[in-house]
Amino acid sequence: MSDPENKREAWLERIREGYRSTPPLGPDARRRLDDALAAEPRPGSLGSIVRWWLEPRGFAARPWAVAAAIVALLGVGVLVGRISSQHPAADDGRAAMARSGSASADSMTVVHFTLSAPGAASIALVGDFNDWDASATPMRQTAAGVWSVSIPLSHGRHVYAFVVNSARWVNDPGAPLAPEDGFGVPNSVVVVGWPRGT
Amino acid sequence: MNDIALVARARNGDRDAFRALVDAYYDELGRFAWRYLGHREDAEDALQETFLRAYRGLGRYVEREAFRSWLFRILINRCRSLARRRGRRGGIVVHNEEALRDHPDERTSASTSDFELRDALDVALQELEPKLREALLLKHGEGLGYAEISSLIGVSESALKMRVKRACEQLRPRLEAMRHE
Repeated sequence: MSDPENKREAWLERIREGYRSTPPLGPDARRRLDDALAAEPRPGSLGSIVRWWLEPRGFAARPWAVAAAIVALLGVGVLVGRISSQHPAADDGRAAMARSGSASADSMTVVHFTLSAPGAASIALVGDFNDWDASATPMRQTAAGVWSVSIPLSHGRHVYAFVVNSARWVNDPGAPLAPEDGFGVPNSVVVVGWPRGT
Repeated sequence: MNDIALVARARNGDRDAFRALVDAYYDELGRFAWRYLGHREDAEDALQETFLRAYRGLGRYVEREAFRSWLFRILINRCRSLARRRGRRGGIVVHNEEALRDHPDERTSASTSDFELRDALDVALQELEPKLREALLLKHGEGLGYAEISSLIGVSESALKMRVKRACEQLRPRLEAMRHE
């Protein structure tokens, strides 16, 4: 390594040392946190869910990105509304997409998910509708490299992803992404039950 | 017991399991928050909000990523919010005297130059744009890889490399100038 590079590395190492020598936060703050946690309702309890919904939150986004997200969501809504009045379309074998099929109940619509993934050994659909359980909704290969599954979904907005080979999570390249809400990476979004005839 | 097992127990109401997760990550997250925000009290607030949000949102954590990464993502969002709020009331720079108030023995185990460096670093870091400071701390403070940082903050690796480069370019002369004052 040349001298300038050595000097640069030494300088960064000093930065790292300075960072690592940051003292811990005060013990009072830790006690306050423990007290606050002890006062919290159990995760998943009704009280916890109510608190989560009431908690103020916000996110920063560029105006053009918000406008693009709104247009994309409206586009998916229109697509779902139009397709839901027709027979489910055949796989196009090119891109992943969530499509709604015939309604099985007043508040449920069968949605057809496909993902083009040649070479995958297994793919599962996960989302808020199956508690993100990778074993709940396996997809099957319906054409060369095209995986699909149809499931009934309640009307409304759903977020989902695909799990490839039980390990790699991928978003649906044919769907918009949900905005980051501070908890995890964005997932794909499908809106089911958009007003028909649009 | 690993993080996944502790999370599972915490979801079932085992508060000690969640406390073990807090124990495991409190200091590490506190270090980042303090350096990012430049103020101990703000860092304590950020950690309080981070762990409370994580506890309330345990059902939303999916094992596709490490629990530590999930916590870091929540913390970064909290820090950004606090920094925006703090920006409206004016910046505050941390000095080591404040730290030593709670840790009086520390000076005996660290050389004077360590404290000078830390003071200089505190001042210089707070003069960086927040997004440059964030990238620099994650890369050269925490020592994370660009791929991991990219997934944490949702910025491409090439953009991150540019941010770190710009941060280094801005930080180096400031630190050197301070050390010669």
